[in-house]
Amino acid sequence: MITPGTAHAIDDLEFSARTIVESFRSGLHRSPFHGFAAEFSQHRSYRHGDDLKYLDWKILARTDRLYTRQFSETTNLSVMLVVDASASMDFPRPPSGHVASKFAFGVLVAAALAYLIIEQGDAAGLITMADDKFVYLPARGGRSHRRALIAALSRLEPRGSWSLDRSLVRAGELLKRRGVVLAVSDFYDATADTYRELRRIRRRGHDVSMLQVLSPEEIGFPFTGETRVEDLETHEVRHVDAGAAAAGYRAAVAEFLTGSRSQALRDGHDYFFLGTDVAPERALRSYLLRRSAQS
Amino acid sequence: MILLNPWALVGLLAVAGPIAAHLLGRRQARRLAFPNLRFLPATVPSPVSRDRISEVALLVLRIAIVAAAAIALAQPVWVSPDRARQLGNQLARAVIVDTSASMSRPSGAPGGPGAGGRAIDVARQRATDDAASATFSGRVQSGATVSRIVEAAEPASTIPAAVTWLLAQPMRRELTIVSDFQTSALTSADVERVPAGIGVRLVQVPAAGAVPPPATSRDRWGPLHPTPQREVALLAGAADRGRAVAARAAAIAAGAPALGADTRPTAIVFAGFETRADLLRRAHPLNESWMSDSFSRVASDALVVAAAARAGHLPLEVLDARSDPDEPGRLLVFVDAAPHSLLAAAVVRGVLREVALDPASGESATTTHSNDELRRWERTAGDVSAQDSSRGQSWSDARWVWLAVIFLLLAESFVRRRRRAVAEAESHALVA
Repeated sequence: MITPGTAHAIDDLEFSARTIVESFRSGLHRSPFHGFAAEFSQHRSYRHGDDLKYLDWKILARTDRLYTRQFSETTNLSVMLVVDASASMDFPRPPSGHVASKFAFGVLVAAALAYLIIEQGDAAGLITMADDKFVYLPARGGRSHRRALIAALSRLEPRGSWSLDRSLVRAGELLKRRGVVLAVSDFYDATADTYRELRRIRRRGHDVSMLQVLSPEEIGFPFTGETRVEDLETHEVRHVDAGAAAAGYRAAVAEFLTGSRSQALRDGHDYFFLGTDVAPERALRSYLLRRSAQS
Repeated sequence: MILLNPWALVGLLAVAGPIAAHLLGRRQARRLAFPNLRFLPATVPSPVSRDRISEVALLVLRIAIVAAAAIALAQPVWVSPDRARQLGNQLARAVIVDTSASMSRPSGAPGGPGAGGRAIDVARQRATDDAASATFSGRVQSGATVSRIVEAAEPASTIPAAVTWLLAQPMRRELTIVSDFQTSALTSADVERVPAGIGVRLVQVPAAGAVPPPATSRDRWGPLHPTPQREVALLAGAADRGRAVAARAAAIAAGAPALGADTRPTAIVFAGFETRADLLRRAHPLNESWMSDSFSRVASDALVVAAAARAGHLPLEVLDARSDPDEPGRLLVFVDAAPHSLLAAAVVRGVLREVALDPASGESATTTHSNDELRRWERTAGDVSAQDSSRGQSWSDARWVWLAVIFLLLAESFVRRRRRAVAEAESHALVA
């Protein structure tokens, strides 16, 4: 049951998502997501600006004429959003000089993507974990589903730990048609099993996008002095001389980010880093533009 | 710069407090909620940070606060040339007004304020005029004059208190005594005890018309030491003791204080006393001013002079005075006459009158210090020194240092709050 507060939250999130989408959609020439179930329809003469991807090279070789292949989409694209709702995403906590925590940032990005995907006639679903239980919304289209999906996102709270592997496995299994698995996480929990699972998803024909969300504090570690650092997920407390440990920490995080990116690209996944110090619309626009360019 | 209270600089040791606090006081490790610990190696918390001082700016401010407070308590005075000049033009004057009984007699001052009234009234008027006067020792003073008027029945005994007050004044100083200056009221020794830097001014208010009652000495000589005795001892040979008692009775009949009155410790040694020669040999010279004064009065007593002349002698040929070797503080008056002689009776009368302790009677004496004598005792006030000018809290510049302390406290508070705000900004995930 949706309470007035939840409805308000949904409205806020939907409004924010719509604002973000509207702010950059005019700059996008075409959809960054393409359906895989499109069927060839006809040829037409090549016009300036057509994507060379759809140029029929065989006809060009035989006749020396430029023809563009056209497809008729029979089904919509299905995108499964995998959103990390673990406690590690609840950082930085207020008071903060930043607008949002990683979780709030990730939820907003996921909502904007869902809005965009459904708005262009495709299907979007959601898999995440709340209180050690899967939250699953199948990939569908339509305004009511979009509102339900955004409502589910708005109800999420960063809490406890989560199993990235299990979420990804479920996402791959539950995505009926070939589609896109789009994971929004800090990927601290990513292991070799995680990447193996991602490769398996890709082998099933799905496209995999990794959106890694980190805050500047996690990268720069601007803390000094003796600090008792508490793990947000495990609540383990470790005494750290922050000033002395900062340099080593930064190097380790840089290596971690490089490793995540390298592994993703090596496995053929789409990888994009989202820093919470960048406005969500700018970050999303950059991501979508790059994705459009790659497709 | 001069410090009025240099002992307060001991407070500078208190700067060890902030230093120790910064060295030894390990800050409570703050708690930071963080996404993961995998990149953060644990470190062993150090019990103290002896090797490095934390928050140097705060430490410097706190040391400055403590040091400034210690300096402020030390009452610093910056003696600038202008200030020294200003102080040099000022005069502190303590005026002692003699209110002894003799001052209640009519004033003998011809003309002037209070002429014709009581001497005490004239003295008070003079004291008031002096306190307000801008002249001192013939010099016109352009600066302010700080005065204090003290009335005392024994001016000599009040001098130390007046000197103490004067020494606390950061300017030139003068002690003024307004009195009829009976010889018993002030001696040269009293004046000599006034520190050299303090000027002495003696304003004489003549008192007239007095009939001298029997001589007494309490007011003249201040507190007694040792305790007074009940009567003057008469030391005569065994055969003459009855005659000595008779001589005392004759003296009392001739105006000497009756038996039972307190006297200064005194003994009259007549010729024929068994150990007189030994006593005379062992006796000390007169060592107290009252002894000399009393003996001189006895020797100049008209009846004694007449009796000595009748015997064919001058008084000092038949009289001698010593301090008792066995009873310190006792006057021994040696008389070369038998107790039954007229001279012995005259001496007994004179001694009894001079050493009696009737407070009212002593003030009836008419002998006063001469004007020349008083002028010799006078002296001008010395110039103010830097050390002198530093006396008195009103001249202290401590208030400016306290002002600096307040500013430092504000700065310390500002820096502390700023650091706290920065720390909070740094740690976005502080656990409450």
